[in-house]
Amino acid sequence: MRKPLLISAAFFFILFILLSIFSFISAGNSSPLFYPKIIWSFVVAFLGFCIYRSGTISKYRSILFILTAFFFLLEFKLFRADTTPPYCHIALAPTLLNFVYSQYLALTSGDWRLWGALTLGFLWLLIILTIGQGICSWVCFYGGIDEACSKIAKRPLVKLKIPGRWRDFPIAFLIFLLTASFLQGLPFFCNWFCPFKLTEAFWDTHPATRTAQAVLFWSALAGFVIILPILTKKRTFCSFICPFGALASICGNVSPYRMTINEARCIQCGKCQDVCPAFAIEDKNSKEYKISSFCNKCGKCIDACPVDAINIFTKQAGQAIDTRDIFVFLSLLVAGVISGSFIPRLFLQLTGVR
Amino acid sequence: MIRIFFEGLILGLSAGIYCIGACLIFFMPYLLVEGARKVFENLKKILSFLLGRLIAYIAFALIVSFIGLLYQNIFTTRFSHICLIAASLLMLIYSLAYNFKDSGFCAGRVKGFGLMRIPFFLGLFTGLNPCPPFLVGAARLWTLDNIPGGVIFFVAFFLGTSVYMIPLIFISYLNKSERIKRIGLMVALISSLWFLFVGISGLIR
Repeated sequence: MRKPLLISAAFFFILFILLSIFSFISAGNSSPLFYPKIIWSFVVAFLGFCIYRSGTISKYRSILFILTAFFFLLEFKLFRADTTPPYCHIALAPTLLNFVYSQYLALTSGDWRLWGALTLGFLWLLIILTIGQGICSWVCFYGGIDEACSKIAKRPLVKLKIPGRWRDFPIAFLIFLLTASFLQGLPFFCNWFCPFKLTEAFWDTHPATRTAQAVLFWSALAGFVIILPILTKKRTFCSFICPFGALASICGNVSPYRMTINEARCIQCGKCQDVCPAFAIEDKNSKEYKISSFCNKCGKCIDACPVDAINIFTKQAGQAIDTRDIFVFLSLLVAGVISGSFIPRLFLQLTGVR
Repeated sequence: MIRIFFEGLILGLSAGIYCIGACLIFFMPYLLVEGARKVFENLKKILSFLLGRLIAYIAFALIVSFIGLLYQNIFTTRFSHICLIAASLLMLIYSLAYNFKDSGFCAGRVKGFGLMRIPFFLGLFTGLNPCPPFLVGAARLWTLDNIPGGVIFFVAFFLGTSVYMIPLIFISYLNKSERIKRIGLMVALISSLWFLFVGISGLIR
């Protein structure tokens, strides 16, 4: 729903002020870093202004999401100054005990903001408590690559019809990964399946196993992150493999924000199901559409619905309250803070200031 | 003998949670699919699984104690990988047949599995899984040079690790919905494919 200019400007102003305060605190004594942080805060706040003014969520969210992923790829994988790139920020240690020890070192050294995968996990949980599954389409710096590929074709070249039950596959995969990681004491997902690691550091030393890992890596990257999203315009890696997405779909239920279809208004045109990139809208015999817990609140269905039957609500004392604007504001704030912790540094690196 | 018994028991208790992880990855999905609402029904399945493990351990202790050091590598490498492949194949066929149970061909197979005592065979094959605690127990067996001692050691090891199986009785509280059963089947499918790969690559190496 479009907002008047004054209200949109108010949202922009508040968001910019909050992100600037964060920039000021996080830049510390480094004055060169403060200016790119302010510029990035302005960019995020301006995209927020566009969302409120135009009433279109997905278009501007997508710009922010893809930019974040692109810059993340540059910063963490290619331009990171203090490590040998390519580098993975999640799996820092090759075994479970080393991993626990690295967390201890991260916490005691005070460098926990960048190094502590457990502390990052805690931050992830905090985000989940606020915007729920929204993390997958507003903040996740890997999901943006999937989304970027899904934007390449104008319309779906292949219509992917997958039985609804296979949407639960990431949950099964998550259970398997947890058990196998525990069993082997290794970051199992990183070693074998992660298509974003872009590093061979985790691969086995045995040639045959190494080849198998390479085959899995390249096929997962090419198939699920690049080719299928281009062909189907869906986020296939996020929908059918990502174990973090599965965890978010379980934990995200604690978040108060729910994407809901107003059955009285719905004309069963099916447009929401067609555009949903996460296969999160279930078709009940073409008579009723239901949004599953895999919905990551990207806003595409809201924008596509011709009768405004879909919105974000919060249940309070049995009543559904429209909280779309608050959700968008919170998501932009979280996305701005997370992306603001690495994108400004990259600006400096690219311009040669540091 | 008492000392050997306690040695096995303590090894089982200390490393058991790791050992159970190796068995759990096969048995938990099965219980998610087949687990009954009644705790007693689940207990029967778990006892059947444990019986399979017990027989596997005793047989392993007896055979290895008889044969001795000469062929130890065959039992801790090749034989245990063959058992892993057998367990994986069992779960793979089971999960595929269950996934496609609506087809005429698979419907009969699913019924067949009901009669096959899958928990027992899973216990038998996963009992000889090449997991680290089992290999530690096997290494101790080489040094014992005592057939009854070897059997007692592995029976005690079995008792120590079985303690960690008790929570599985309550898994029936999880499988109240069809969705959980479906997820259980998928876990079985992924695990069986993965461990089939591990078993085959272990044999090739």
